[in-house]
Amino acid sequence: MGARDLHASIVEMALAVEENPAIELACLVWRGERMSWARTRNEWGRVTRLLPEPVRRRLGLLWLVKGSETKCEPPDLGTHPVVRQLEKSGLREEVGAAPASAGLSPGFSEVFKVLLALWLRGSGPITTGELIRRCRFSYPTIAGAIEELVRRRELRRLRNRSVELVGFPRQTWQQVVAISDQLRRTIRFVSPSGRPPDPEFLLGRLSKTPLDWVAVGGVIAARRLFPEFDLKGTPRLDLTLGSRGANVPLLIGRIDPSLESTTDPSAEFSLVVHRLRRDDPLFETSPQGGPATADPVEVLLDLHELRLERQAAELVEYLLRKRRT
Amino acid sequence: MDLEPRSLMTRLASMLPPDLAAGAYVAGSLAAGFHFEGHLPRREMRTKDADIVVHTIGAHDELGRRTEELLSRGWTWNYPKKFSPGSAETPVGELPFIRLFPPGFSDFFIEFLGEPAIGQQEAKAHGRIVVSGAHYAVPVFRFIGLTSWNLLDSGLGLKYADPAMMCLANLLSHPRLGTTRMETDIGGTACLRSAKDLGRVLAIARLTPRGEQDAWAERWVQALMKWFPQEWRQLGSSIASGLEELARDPAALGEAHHTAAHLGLLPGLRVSVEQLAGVASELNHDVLRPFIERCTRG
Repeated sequence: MGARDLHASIVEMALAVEENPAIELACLVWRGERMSWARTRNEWGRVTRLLPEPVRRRLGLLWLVKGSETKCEPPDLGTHPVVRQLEKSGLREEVGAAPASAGLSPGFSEVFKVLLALWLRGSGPITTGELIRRCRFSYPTIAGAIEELVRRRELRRLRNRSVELVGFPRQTWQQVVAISDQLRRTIRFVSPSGRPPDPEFLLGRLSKTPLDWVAVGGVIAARRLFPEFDLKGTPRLDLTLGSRGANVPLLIGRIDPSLESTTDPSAEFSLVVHRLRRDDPLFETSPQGGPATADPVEVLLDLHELRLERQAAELVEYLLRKRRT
Repeated sequence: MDLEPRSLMTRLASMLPPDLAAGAYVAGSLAAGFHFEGHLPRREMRTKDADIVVHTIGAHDELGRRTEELLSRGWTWNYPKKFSPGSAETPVGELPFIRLFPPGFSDFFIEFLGEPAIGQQEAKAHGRIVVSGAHYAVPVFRFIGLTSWNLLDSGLGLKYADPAMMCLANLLSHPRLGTTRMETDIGGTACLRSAKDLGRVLAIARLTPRGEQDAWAERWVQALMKWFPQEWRQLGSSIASGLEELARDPAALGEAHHTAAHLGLLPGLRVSVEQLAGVASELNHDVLRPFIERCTRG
């Protein structure tokens, strides 16, 4: 996890705090193995001093490395009850254990998703420069992801510094699916009236005033990609947001200002919004007009999140058949 | 008592003289229950009366004769406890309203309501009606005329008020919650009149698909312009105030939930008090704000 990831995490946390006045304190827990405390604190300061005071004073940083003292910014953060609770929660042991997902950083997974989405669409080899342009990540992040995928024998290097997936990268795909909840930046919304989700109604609202940084994902997009998609009904509306211009409050204001965000995993979500980290959203214009369609990889991840495993597998097989022809 | 709105509507249609039925329509709880009968538990609702709005209230003699005709057909009086028929000297505000039990009923009655003049200012006016020499009154509510807009056909020989228009009339009738309480307990609670009426608004909103509600604002504007040509903008711009007050008042909101649930419009949906507040929020964003914007723009 490099400085760019740290910057992105701070901005993401600041957005969450700005959008939700009920949050008194948001604390970023940063695993410090790859970045010293001095560097981390410096990068933290570079970003947070750009933020407005009402947001900045509600942000905190907790730097953890196994065997080292926990560091905080601001320094008195360590006395905050929430932070003390975090310390007691076993988080340090989790950090020390370096979970299996450690190799799949948000940067790596985003590069992987771009490679896979372009491959599923039948695009040819892609150069490193093209990947940098599409992802807007640093060269080391892109190169590291390529190196790891080559090591896994899922990617091959070609001439002209281009690369191409060898086939459907099932090993990495399964890992990405397994931790996609952690990798994706997702906000979930419920209806305050307890009405059953009405995705077509929300989509109708969005279609009246489409936003070029919003694309439809989930079941609705799966039906667009695969006309024989086998599911009755639409459980919720999934939307994917590009990183340029994305504004969640503006989106909610357009389609349903009464929606309420929730972190309750058992809630019946009306709307689920996934925010991309990369620069090129890979949206596909809808031939019928209206909102664009998210790329097939995001759609597949939406289906897995919905526990529609069989339908996701059928969509993969369909996309593979379509690619071959 | 629990009654089937469809059965009630059928019996009323068959018992009212056809020309009276043609010049009147059903409003209030029976109209709402009939419209949403598919959502009612066992297709039943709890109601004790039917509001019959008579278009020809201006012709008081005509309504008097019609009432005499009903009495001759076996309908019977249901006088409120503290009122008895008056004379020409009795102030109109002290006269009993025309409430009649249909033949064979002793726990369900109809009440005639009058249609107001365009732009009526009083919240509740009275029309004097003479029936067989005795004097009675017909209440004429300021906003009841709005419910005559876009009347719906029951298919049984009686028209009924569009629930969306009943919402408009109820919202305009209660720009504040006020302190007036119902004279009759509802499920053991003497509820605020405003909480009861606004609770019905929320129940109707909850039962109506949100896609359909998108069309309400324009219909409301058209009806309001007709009935209040001089002041429709002013009236429309303050339509949300009572509902906003209700949503902020836990006790009143509880009463609104209690009355809507007691009537039978909500139980099948298992709507909690908190969710009823959510309905208010949705209604505000979906209908009230676009309506207010339409009323206030030049």
